Amino acid sequence: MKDLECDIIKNDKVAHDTYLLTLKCSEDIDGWMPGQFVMIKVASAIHPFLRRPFAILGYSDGLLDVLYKVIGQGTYTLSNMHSGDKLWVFGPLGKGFCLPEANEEIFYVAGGTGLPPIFSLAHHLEKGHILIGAKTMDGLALVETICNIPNIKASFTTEDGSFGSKGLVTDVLEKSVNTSPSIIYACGPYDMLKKTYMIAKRYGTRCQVSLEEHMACGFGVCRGCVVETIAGNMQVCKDGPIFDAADIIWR
Amino acid sequence: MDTTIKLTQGLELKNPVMNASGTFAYGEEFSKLFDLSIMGGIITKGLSLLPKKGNPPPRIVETPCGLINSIGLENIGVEAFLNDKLPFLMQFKTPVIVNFFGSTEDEYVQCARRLSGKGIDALEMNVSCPNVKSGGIEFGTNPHTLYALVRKVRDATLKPLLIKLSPLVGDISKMAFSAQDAGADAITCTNTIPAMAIDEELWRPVLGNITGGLSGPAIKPIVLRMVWEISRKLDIPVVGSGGIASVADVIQFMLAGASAVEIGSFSLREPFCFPDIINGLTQYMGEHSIDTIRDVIGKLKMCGR
Repeated sequence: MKDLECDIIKNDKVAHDTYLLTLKCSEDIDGWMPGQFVMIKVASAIHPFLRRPFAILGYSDGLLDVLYKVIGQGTYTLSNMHSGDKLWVFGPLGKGFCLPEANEEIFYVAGGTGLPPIFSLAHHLEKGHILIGAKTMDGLALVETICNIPNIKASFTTEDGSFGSKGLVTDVLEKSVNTSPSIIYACGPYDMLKKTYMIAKRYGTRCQVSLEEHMACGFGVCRGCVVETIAGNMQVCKDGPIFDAADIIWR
Repeated sequence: MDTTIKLTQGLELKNPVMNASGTFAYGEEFSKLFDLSIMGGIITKGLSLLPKKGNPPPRIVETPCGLINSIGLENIGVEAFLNDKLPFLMQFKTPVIVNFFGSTEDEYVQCARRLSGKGIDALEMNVSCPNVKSGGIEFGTNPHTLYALVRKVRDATLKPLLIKLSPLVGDISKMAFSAQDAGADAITCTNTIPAMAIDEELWRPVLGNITGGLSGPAIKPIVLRMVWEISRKLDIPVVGSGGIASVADVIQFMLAGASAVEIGSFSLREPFCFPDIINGLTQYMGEHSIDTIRDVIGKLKMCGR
């Protein structure tokens, strides 16, 4: 874990309220895994006070990619920054996804802002079926890039049917999984994750989820981001953000 | 240059910069970032006799220049701390100060007794957590209750005893005097300030616990005033804690009368602020020809500009 000074290379709008940020890091982020995240300080001024957690979308040759949606003050500040501006990146943080067994069929499920860690894993593994859902076509980012990942089958779903099939991404998952050995990786809204886990449970499929929670430190010192699991309270930032879905106590 | 501070008999700090309880866990995570031996002292997450689960999420919300938390004193309990965490902390060449609380007088006393063994250099008693119904704040808002409690804990331990006060009192001097009269060795001023945040779209409180405690630079001027107010009157030293985020803040608190400081919220944003501020302090001393940091304490000039 280091605190790296980074230069913004680009910060481009790629979908509705959604930006792709590319940073040139002063040092290497070594040994990162898909599913891990970084805490980004968006202002050298004291407000916004806290750093913001972002999943690593990709990292190579000193360039870090982050995909984010503008939802509050931190991401709004970030969206107004330009190439040449500086940011501070603390990471890599948390635990990454557990990799699949050789015989397992792989499903990825990403809903809304849950795309980054899922994209990162699909890109790393280069096999399996990725299911991506959004409310409308405007909310889908990186469609072409996803379709260009080698050996990945991609399916898109929108709730209003404006792109891909109409409905929920979990409807498509339900039709795709079967009882053969497989693993599902998911990130997205709580209800989507819960539904994904229910489907996984029904088919006896392994399921890993990437969770979100309000975070202050990102490295396990404040206990601000706990989630209830069968082993008691766990910290999303340090014990996760990737968890076995079966360990989570779903509300 | 001399940065040492003798806070009280048996509690010497190599510099006045410590962490605040609750933003440092039990030290393990920070030890991966820098050598904890540089710290003036390490203050643990608040401990209770038995483990405590804390409050429901969300537990954190950012506010202008700070944050509100409602962690709810989640902790592993005294026994697990002694077995699993203390041996790790003992390897560092700096005092280990254990923060603790109870929900009854008896729990406070039992905690203090259990935490009076080897490897613990001092105790910081929390009588001021705003996030739990029983667990502090009602002990810290009435001077008579506080006196009785501190007296009992004082009789239960020989360790240096710091009392961490609540800012939510009419006259904090009264509370500080109660603690001093009952035998406290130092005052920590202060805990977070009760606060809340509301989501205007959902018409709901943001925090799972509805209310929480405000910390960070937003509260610094309030706490600075309190430190100035009580340190002039007390015979025992004051440790300042509230929104400290720079060398300048440390100096300001010391000028106001603090003998040492605790940094909490800011270290969530800047995990490397401890080495940065500790190094910056000696730089400030050099630039201002200060031989010993003790010469700054309470040296606020009240006239002339």
